[in-house]
Amino acid sequence: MSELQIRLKNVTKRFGATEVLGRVSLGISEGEFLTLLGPSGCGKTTILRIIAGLESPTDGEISLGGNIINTVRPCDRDLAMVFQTYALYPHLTVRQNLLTPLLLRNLTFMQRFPLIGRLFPGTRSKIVGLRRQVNAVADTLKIRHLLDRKPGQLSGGQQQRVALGRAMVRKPRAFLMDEPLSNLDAELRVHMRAELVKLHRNIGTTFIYVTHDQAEALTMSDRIAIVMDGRILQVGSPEEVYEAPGSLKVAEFVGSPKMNTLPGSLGEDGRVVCLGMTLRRQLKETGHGNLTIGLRPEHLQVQSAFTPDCFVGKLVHRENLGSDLFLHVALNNNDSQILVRANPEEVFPFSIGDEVWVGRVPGKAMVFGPDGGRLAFGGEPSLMEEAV
Amino acid sequence: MKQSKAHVLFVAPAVVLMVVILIIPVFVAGALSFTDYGLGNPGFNWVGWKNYAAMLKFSSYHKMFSASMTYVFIVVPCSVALGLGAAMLISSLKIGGEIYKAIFFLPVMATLLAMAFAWEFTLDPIIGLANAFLSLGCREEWIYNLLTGAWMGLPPEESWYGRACAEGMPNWLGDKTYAMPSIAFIGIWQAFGFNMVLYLAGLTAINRDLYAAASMDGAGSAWERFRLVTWPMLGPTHVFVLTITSIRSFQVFDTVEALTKGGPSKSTYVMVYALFEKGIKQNLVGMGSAITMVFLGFVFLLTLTQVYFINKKVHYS
Repeated sequence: MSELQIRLKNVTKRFGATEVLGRVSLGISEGEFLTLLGPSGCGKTTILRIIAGLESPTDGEISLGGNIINTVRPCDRDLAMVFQTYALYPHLTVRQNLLTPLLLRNLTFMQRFPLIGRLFPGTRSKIVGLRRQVNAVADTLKIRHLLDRKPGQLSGGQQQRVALGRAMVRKPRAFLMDEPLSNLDAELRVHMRAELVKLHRNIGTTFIYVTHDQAEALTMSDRIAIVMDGRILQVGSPEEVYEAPGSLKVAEFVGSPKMNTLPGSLGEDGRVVCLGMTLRRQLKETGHGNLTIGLRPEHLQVQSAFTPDCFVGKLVHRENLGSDLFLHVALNNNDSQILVRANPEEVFPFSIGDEVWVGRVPGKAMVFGPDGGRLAFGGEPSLMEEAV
Repeated sequence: MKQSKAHVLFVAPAVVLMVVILIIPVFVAGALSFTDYGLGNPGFNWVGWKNYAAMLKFSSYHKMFSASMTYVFIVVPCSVALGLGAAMLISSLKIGGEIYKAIFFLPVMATLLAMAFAWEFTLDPIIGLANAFLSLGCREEWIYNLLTGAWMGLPPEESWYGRACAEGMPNWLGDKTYAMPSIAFIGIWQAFGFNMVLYLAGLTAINRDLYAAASMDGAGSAWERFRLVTWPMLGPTHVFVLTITSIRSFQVFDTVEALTKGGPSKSTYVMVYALFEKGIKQNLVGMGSAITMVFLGFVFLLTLTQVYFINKKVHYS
């Protein structure tokens, strides 16, 4: 990927005594689709607002295209933002909404003056050119027929398009999007996800996208930055973040339904023991105390017969999602419950209360140390590589 | 099909009350305005449009209209602008906003009649605080030069302040040049706190994201953001504030009654004071009713304008 366009270096933000962001560093490449993913209140919106210039960092450095922009006003950064509430000007028509950023940037103060502004030389021809730009964007977003309406007369999805259009119309250096899809209904959200990706591919501008919805993050982004408690825990492609989480927090946050976690410890031969079962692989480093074993629901399977290395439990609940069937199994030798994904097409003879045997897909278990950090297995060059 | 009559019962109390205490009195006043009735008289005569014609004919009624209009045209713009200004300043404060709100709202809560006596002392030509304060500057050279325009090279004796210093400070309530502005000043002092509270409510209702969006769109200065967001978003508040202030200004009575009694030479002879004087003091109920009808006409017109704007122009959703 090309060189870094936007850079955050040790950015810290405090509101009074509360630290909202702690030494956040992040680099975003030109043309990238980067998502800031995290639970609500984690500081992801604050990061976006600091990039936009709407908040100033308490400490640290933000640069855009190599220039430090800490003190540059938002309107001079040439970034565009799409808000969760859309923030369209309700008293202006869609056309005027789209025209506003162009007028503010391309006309002088006197040319924008009501009534007499038109009398200044060049105003009229300039406005004609700007209107053409608005029409072009309206065509791209298929909102040409809405141009004369007011935002109050539009549906949520249409308002969303207008907000996008207002951001697009002046061709900014990057788009900042603050949960733009969260006010839409589920069906439209899935549709707009695809539209946004298509738009990003067509215009090739950097997108910085904030969301708490991991489905959005996983489906749309080139890279995801996981933000929690004001810190960036991991930055990586959707596959990396899902398959090779760097810590227990990331592993538990990414993935729906949530990853199963079970207590474990280190056996005498350096292998991990989990509820009386021993994992086949050995840890690279030994000497850890209490361990946590992470198993994703899709890496567990119900077996038709008992084997020595399977979990034994009682089926307490089943959720049928059509394409997937999730089984809640209460383990016999432990008071925890695990979640198992099964294929509903397989004839499933068990009913609630039955004893079931749950086996593991080999090589998929993840082990986390007492501090929540991911522990690598021995003989395993990287966390990505599959080992048995 | 037999329809339930329950709805009639539900609206009846409100309708009956409105008819008895509002509609009927208005019609009675309307009827009385065509008579020469006086309270306690055994009978009355129909006089046709005579009372209304008097309003067009006699100069004291012309002065009445001009006094009311002057008052409204001074008080409404000043108190609305001051209210908006104060609201924006207070809402931009991080601390101390509550104290300013309380201070500015105090005149609204206070009884105007009681406050009028305080103003009477303040504006007294001899013992009043206002003139004592103003004449301080006559002895202080730099204030004198500043206020007379001497610093710009103008002759100080010809300016208003220079003459006031030489010939004595004005009699605020007793001089017909100053009586109306003084009454209007008290009106502004009393009204703008109320407008400020309305504007504060309007300001808090504005979506903060709109300001952020305006900043991102290129509105760099506070003035640009005011023009793009604050002013238009306050549209419904403007209409409400303007109407309420206009109606309340038309109704001004207590300061006039307490301080000037319509004088000097009818310069503060506002409508409500006139109808009080004619209808109650002089017991010319017919004439008082005629003034009342004209007064109601003005208020009705203002209300209609408000309804029109609320429905047409400034409704965004």
